[in-house]
Amino acid sequence: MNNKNFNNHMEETKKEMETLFFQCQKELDEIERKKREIFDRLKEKLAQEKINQLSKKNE
Amino acid sequence: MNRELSFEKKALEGGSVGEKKEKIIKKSEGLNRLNIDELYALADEQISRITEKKNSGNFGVNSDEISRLEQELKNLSIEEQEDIKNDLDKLKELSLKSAQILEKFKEGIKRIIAVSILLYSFSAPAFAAENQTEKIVPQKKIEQQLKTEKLNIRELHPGMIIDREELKRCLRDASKKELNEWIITVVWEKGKGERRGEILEVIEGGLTSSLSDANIFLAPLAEGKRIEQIHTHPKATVEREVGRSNLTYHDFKKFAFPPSFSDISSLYQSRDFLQKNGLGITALLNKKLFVEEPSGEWEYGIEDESNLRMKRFSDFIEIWRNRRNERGRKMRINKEELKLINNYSEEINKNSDIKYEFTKTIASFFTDKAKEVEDEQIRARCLRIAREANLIIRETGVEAVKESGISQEDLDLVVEIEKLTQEIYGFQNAERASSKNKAKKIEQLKKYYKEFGIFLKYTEDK
Repeated sequence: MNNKNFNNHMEETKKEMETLFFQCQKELDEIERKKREIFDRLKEKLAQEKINQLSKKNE
Repeated sequence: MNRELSFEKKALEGGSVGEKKEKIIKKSEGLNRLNIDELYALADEQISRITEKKNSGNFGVNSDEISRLEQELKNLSIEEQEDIKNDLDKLKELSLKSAQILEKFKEGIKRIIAVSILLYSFSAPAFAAENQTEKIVPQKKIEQQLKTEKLNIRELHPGMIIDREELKRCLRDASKKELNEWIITVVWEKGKGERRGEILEVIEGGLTSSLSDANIFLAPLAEGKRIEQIHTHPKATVEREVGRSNLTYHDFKKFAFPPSFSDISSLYQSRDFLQKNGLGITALLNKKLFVEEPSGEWEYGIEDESNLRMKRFSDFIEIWRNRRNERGRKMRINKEELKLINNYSEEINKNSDIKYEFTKTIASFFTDKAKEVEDEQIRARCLRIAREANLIIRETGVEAVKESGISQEDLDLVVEIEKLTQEIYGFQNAERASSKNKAKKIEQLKKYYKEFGIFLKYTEDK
């Protein structure tokens, strides 16, 4: 393996690492987006519930 | 496309042994070792970025926020509501999934690096040649050396009859003075302690498995003769790696230059080659392997033929070789490139390894050819063909690792060996090296090689 091939070997390895990184990042982003959606929904419900309970108290 | 490689139609006999005797192979190309640290640094950086994304992310939710929300919902006594419970479960499930993705990523990165080290070990030597080709010994210095009475490595040539002691002294001297690795193959005359032998091949720089003409071993080994292949691990490589220009006697008490995993992989490939040519373990055991280093000698070879790891690695070698040769013969090339290959068919055919190592021979031939030719267009075509061949070699290597049953444990061991040898050489953690931990590390390396069915013996100069 000459120097050029050696450099190619390093570059290919880094490329494979980058590909896995971006693929993983994409999957993680998708999951985190879903989590945020659910979380926000729950927060909204919680806020709504607080309002409802306050209203009940005032009644 | 109607593609036909003219040299494939001819008898692929290669040169005769007689012709080979005239040939001294010289490969003084710039080489560098795989920078494991650089790959691990990149891996660490990527893992930190992914962990950060998992824990906070651009729009993610961290576990503290989820716990707080859960507690608030409990305090309000509304957790019994079905839809809220489902949402909370889903949230926990997604959190678990993101943790799994992070773990999968860490494993994946670890595997990519390990496979890379493995493929590199099967392709490049740890010592071989100097980083810069202009550092080749000047002709004037060679001429001065040739005037001395003692036999010099540069005087050795195939067909030469040589005394065992003199050859060993000559190689030891080369390991101290030469910039490149030298590989000498000798067949010993039977009887009288096999003190006299005939040189079969002389190589300067390069890797035994990819450059040595394996065919030259076949006839003597089939006749039951004993062959020795001795290569040097030059002091100059270590000096370059540790950033010192003159290693002393004291340094050699701290460092040693045992066979690398590349050398072990060459041994495995040699075993595979002999088996393919109908020669069994007896022939292989008749081929002795040595490393001459400035302060000692290493012998290594097969200790346990039935070793399971050896079996898995042999499967890997066979799958990889078959796959890369098969794919290499169907390589994507255009009309001009095909014409170029056919123009060089006679020259390519002179490599008797082409039958056994089609794609590697093509890659190596066109890499070399690109350096020789002056025409820019032809050079570009040569490089394109070499690049395509190297890509096939790499891709099929990754496939072969998967298919051969090489486990993560096997790969971890290869990485450990690579790290350990680099420490013993002084390439890594040179400042922490000592004669005491050198001995310990050598013992550890012997244990690791034993796991591959390989023995290692060290005779250090007193």
